[in-house]
Amino acid sequence: MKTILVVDDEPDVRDTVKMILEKRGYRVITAVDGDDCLNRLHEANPDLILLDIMMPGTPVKNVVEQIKNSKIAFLSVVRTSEAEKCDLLKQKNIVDFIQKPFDVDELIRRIRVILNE
Amino acid sequence: MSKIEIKKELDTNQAAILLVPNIDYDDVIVDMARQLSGKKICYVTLNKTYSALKELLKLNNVDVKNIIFIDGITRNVKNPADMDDCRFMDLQITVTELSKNLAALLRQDFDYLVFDSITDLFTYHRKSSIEYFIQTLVNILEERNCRGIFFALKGFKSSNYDQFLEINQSATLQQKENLPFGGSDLFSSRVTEGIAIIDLADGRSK
Repeated sequence: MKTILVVDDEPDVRDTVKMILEKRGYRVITAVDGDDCLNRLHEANPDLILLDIMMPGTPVKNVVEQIKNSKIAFLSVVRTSEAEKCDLLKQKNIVDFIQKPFDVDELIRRIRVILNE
Repeated sequence: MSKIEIKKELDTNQAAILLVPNIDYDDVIVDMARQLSGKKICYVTLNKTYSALKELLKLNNVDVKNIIFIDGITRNVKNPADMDDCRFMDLQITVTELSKNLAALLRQDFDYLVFDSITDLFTYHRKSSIEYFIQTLVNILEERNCRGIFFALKGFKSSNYDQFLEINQSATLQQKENLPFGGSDLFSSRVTEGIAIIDLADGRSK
């Protein structure tokens, strides 16, 4: 069973994404911000991290630097240009940029692609 | 969406908080920038990156040469260098520092400050800090003879945010109707001094 870590400071987003992914058979753990995300990595080795860009605590760029073995997809309400997305996707581990609000089917489709399913 | 004439609204108020429905957000940004065309604008963006915002404005033929952008997002994900028309700012600072940084920038004789948006501040700061920040910023705007436009997303779900809007709308309404303030809402009423709150879903200035 693949494990996905959902990191978002909005409880509604965390709970909704967790519910959606668990229904599709994924093991889901959640974290409330970047620091919590790094702590969770000690107890789990997620295949994918869905990471919100705008969260309190450690800046996302510092969190990303410390993630070694998991793929990362940004899940963000912030809008960026296509050029910026391409730039971000060149960084190590970052594999996708998913815009909120997202379509559930599209989210699942993209996760399956990322996880080679 | 209701259209408003922002310059007219700001004839009698130092600043306006525009409650913008999510679905109209981009249209409102473009419309405001168009209405202020030719004026010197300091545009603080916490909702879109500098690059995305500039792209949107240019796509809609809005002249951006008089706009200096303050991007509060990009530094969260990388370390960009400042540009001629953009400063990259860290949002994870106290509201006091944020006010000081903006006060320094506003020495450049801007006609308008656009703050996009109050809603995004709720990620990093508490309601009381945000109220303090807005009032401080409006005082700075008054000193600099600059008008302020604050965007706020209508329908954003957060109990703090709902309370913030509810109290301030109610306080503004009391001011408009010249009713005496009182009760537990008194503290928050000072946030709305000189600030019009305009709900773009119905277009009425509250």
